[in-house]
Amino acid sequence: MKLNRILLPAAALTALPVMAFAQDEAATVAADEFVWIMNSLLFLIGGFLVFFMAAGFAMLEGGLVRSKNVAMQMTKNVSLFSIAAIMYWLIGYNLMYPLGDWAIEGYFSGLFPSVGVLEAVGITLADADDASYASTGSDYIFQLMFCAATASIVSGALAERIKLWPFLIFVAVLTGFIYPLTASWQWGGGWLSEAGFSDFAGSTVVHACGAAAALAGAIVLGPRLGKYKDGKVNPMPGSNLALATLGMFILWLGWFGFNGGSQLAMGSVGDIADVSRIFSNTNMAAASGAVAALILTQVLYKKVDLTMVLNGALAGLVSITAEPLAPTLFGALWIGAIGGVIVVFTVPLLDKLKIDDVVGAIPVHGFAGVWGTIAVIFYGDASLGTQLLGIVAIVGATFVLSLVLWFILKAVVGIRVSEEEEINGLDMAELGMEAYPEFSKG
Amino acid sequence: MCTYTERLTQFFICPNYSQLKKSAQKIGKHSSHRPVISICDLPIHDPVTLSCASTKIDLNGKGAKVKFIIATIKPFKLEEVREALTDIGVRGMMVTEIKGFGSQSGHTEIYRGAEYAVNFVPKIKLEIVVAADMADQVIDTITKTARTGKIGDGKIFVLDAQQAIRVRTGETNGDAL
Repeated sequence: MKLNRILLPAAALTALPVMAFAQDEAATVAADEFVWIMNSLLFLIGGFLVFFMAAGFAMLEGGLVRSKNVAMQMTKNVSLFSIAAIMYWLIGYNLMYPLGDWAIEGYFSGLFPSVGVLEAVGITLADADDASYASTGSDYIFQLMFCAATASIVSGALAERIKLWPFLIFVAVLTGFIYPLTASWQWGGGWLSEAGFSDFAGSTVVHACGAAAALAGAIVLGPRLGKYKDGKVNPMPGSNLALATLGMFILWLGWFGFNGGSQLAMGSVGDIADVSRIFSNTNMAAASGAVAALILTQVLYKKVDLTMVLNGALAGLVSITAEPLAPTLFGALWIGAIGGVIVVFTVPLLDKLKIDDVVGAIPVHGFAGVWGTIAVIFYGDASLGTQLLGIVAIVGATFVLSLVLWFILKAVVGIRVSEEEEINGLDMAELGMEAYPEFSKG
Repeated sequence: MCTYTERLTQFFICPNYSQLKKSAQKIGKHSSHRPVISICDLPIHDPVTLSCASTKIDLNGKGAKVKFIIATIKPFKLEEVREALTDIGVRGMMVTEIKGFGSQSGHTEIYRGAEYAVNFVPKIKLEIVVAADMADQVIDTITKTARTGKIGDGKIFVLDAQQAIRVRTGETNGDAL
């Protein structure tokens, strides 16, 4: 409401520039400036909302790992975000956005390797890098958050058994190189976007990419000790479902920035109306994903599984991310609900394959991400063929590059803690501190 | 024959003399009607010499025989059982949260689509010492109140307690309860 009061006079001024007196010129915002400012504002708001998803991932993962690994999981989350922020500046940003300057046309940025550079202090619109779009800083910080989100997906899947430093090395390469590379094919104006692939906010570009890196890691790393014994799955319940639920809600909040900000423009009635549509659809998909998992676990297991409901909401969000604008609210409802259903069925499927994904990151971000990308064909402007092409290209490339990197890390430094350290918990083994030092061992 | 201080030191493991003296005075105050420690009615001097046989604290035990009852019950029944037992005059019990299994052999739950066995089921263990003639009534009460008719209601074990002693006074067996 507050925003409205500020916007209305500004819009009036820009709509009627002829009414501005000469002496009021300094206070008048020209139409092109207004668009530039509003676009930048959208990126900044979207950026800090997506930033907070880092907290959401941390809480979700902290709640779903056992208490002996909580401090380590928090360490990984703060470290991976910070490393992503540096790597994205160092290489990622210019690798992802070649601005038409390709070393290999459509595949590899000609701006590699070079650091991200902001606009000067106190510029006018004439000095802006892109006067028709938004400030470089706002675009940079917004895109950086997506990059960090990709890495957050990996940490959950590999929790409770991976060594800290090899994981962080992987994160540096993922956020500095792998994600920006594959994302440039679509969002950098590369060959996938030329081919007509459609992924609005990154069901595939961000989420399935993160899940592919996680899947490669989970395969190379192996399951937690005792997770699969004598052909049976041995569940390892999380330490704090209240934290996990908080994490889910934080992610849900952050997703408004994730999808809404991906409108990439807020300078017109049409754009802000679209952002509003996106917010509504995003919310609907999360709700329907949660309800689908709620009902399905009750029917299948005779008891509701809260962790599945949390995953269901997130799967709904991932599902709508590829096309949050075009669907009707009913469209968002069924697309999100199918995402929730996918999670309930694919979590046990991964267990059958003995791929140990501690928090369900691969079903949520991978399988639901693929589903969301395919679902674009129902409401958006895309063909099934190009959607599948995009999925195969990005997931495939990320998976292969990650797999190679994981094998190298495994061979050179080792990626897994010792058996004793794993049983004692990574908190004491690798940090020498615990998240809950005053609780007895259970 | 031993000194009062020696006897009390054995009994209370008092770290210093002033505490010991306080304990001794307490005994005197509370136990005038208990023959086994009537010594304490004597004025206490330092050092106190116990000069007659009747002043010794009798560790072989006087008073009614006692039974030691161990009962495992479903945790949600604890309050009900406690109330029922206090109603029939049980004056104390020890309660522990335990896990275990019996003929039920645990049960299964589902977490994230995977069925798993809960091998050890949470239970409450009650330990109650009562006068032997009261044991049947206690067992009866526990059986009645803790029963749901479903598997996992628990077990009761009854042992003969060799001796019961009240730490504060040295009273034994039925008198110590």
